[in-house]
Amino acid sequence: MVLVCAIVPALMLCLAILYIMLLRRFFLVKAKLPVLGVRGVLGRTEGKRRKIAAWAALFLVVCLTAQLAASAWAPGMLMVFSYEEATRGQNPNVTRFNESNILSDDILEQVIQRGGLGISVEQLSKCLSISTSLDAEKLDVTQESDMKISTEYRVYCSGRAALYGTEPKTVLNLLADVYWEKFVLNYAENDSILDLSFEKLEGMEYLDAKDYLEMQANKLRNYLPGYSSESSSFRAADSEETFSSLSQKISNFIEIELERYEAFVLEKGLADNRTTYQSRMQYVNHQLDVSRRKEMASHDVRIEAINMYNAYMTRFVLIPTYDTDKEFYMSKTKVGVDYFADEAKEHLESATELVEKIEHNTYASQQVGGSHASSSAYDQADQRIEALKAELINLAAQSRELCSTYVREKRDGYIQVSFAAPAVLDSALKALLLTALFAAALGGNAVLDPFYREYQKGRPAGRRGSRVVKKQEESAS
Amino acid sequence: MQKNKGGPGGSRAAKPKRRGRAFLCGLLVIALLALGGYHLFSNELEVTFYHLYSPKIAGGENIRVAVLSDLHNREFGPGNGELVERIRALKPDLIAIAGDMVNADDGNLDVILTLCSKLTEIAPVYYSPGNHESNLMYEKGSPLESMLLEQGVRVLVNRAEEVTIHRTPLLIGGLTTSTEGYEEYGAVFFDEYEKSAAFKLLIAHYPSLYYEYLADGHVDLGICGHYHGGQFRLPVVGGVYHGDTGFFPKYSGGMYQLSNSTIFVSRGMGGHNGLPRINNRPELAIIDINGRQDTNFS
Repeated sequence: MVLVCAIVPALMLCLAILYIMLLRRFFLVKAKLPVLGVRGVLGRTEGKRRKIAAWAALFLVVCLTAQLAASAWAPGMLMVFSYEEATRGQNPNVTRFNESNILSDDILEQVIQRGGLGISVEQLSKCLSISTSLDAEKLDVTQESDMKISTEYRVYCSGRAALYGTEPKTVLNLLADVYWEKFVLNYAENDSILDLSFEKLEGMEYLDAKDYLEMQANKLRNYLPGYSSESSSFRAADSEETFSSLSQKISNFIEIELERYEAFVLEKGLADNRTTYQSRMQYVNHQLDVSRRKEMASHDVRIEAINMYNAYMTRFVLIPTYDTDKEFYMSKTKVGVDYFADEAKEHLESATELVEKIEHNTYASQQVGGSHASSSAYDQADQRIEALKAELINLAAQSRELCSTYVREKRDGYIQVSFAAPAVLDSALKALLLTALFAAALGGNAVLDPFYREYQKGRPAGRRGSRVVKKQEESAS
Repeated sequence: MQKNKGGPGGSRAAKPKRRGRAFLCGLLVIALLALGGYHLFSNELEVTFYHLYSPKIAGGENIRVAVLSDLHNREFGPGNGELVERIRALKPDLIAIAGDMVNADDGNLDVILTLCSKLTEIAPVYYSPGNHESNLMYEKGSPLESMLLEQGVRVLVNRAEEVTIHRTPLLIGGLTTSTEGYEEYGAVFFDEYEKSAAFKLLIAHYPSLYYEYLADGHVDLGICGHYHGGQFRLPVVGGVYHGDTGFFPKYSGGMYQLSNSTIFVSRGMGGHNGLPRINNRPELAIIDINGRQDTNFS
């Protein structure tokens, strides 16, 4: 195919040589050309017209076939970015889209690896080019109407790739695959968070297991709102679930299932190692109490500061303003005392939460200490953990299924790729143009041929001719 | 008058010039013929790449399948080292063998066993026997199947195995029967196989099964061999001949889109009938399956 690709350039070279010959002959014989006898001159080509037509037809067929074969062998690839954010020049994860990533060294290196190609990154880079339909437009970046973002990119691979034992279409296909894979992993929705791991549950205390499972469930619950805000009512064809219903299921799991499990463990006072658990709770409570006291101290300081404030300084001013809905209202300016009051409230709330935790830990520690749980209670707790794990895995699978269906339907696979079919009309026009030039060159040469022959006959012998004459004279003498 | 245009001295000088031109033209023709002949009769291994879009592929990872078929005990390098190294470099996720890797008439199993022992180190190997293996196993009592199983090869004789690759569940099936025995041996298996919701990769040696019985079947990727690419391949037209179908077999080599399935027919890697492969290099096919969509833009 490399040879086929070389046919059109070779024909163009032939054409150039023909025109050089034609020009040379024209300048040599122009003095002998009849200025007004063009018809008579053209009449001289009568015998050669069929020959010229036959050559032109052959030229046309070869040129057109070679062009079509070459463009089918090395087609251009169109990459269309079909997600909503592409029109804003962003990736699906709202990071900035960068066109140069498509042909980055990193991607090209992976293309080479994936295809087992015997070519360096630099060589491959020279074979590839990228353009957009906007490249041809003369845009004025100062005009807002001219600020366009392309979502379509045409990538071309030169036929030179064949010199390295591969084909342009193969290279482009590999490039599309590698880029797509990289794009989905780095810039699109990354659902690896849904790969739940329960390895750390092994050997964990029964009460700690609840916290661990809650953390995993929260991972799922926090992953869904992104989709839920886009399309909360989206439903897969063969499923009843929506993002909001799934989110609700996960909330129920945390608030009902996990709470039930915790109540069971607390009631029975289950622990793998009572003494260790109690000492750990004691230590945790000590730390929590230190934090509580710090929070209370911060609270007290602020209350004290508020009491010390001069009444004159606590006056506020009302300022007329607009809210986000462009509604008029009177805004009350905050003064220092307001900030102190807010902070004091926050510190008090934190301290109250810490007290609750301490009380919970104390209760758990007491329950564990006074426990006389049978082995069947432990078996029951183990079974409950397994059931909770299974339910969480099921929720993760449902989330993944729904998210991937949503992504598939909404994003159309993010990138759509197509290979351009050979442009028959363009190729035919180009072939016709070249053929016309070829026929003109042949015709011109045919017209000038008789004059050129006359010129050759009439001109003095050249270097070789004079040498022959000299030799003849020498032999005669 | 025109013939003597150069005069007596000119015609004498023109003769060696013409001879020189003829010699150059001759050399050019010989070079072109040699180049064309080398290309047409080349028996060098060719790696071909195919892409298949499937909505069943989970996440953004590609699943790469290396397809081998119709080796007929041929060796690419000592112990098929060249072939193995090529496959290793391409890092497939699984290797599908579509049968006829041995010859029924010589019973030599060393080539395939050596090859499979090396392939299993690269990726899981799924082997669906062809007519030559079936002949050896069921008519000559060769222990080929058990020997392959010992090497760690998954031999699929009208059965399927589930596997998960990059979070995508695949059901890899092997349909060994020919069209003649399909209703008796293959129909029950295929009817059950077709029901799976997983990505169905079916290795069946005979492409002719897709002419009739499996034409409307639901297979995500069918892998076949048997036709040796139609022995001689013409540009645009494809394969020319195979003994089973006569001239111009419908599916001689490449990827074909059927009503509910996509099938890939390997051109194979060797031959058994002694005929040369013309414009038909031995093929190691790589199929990349992923969620990248191909569309038809103008």
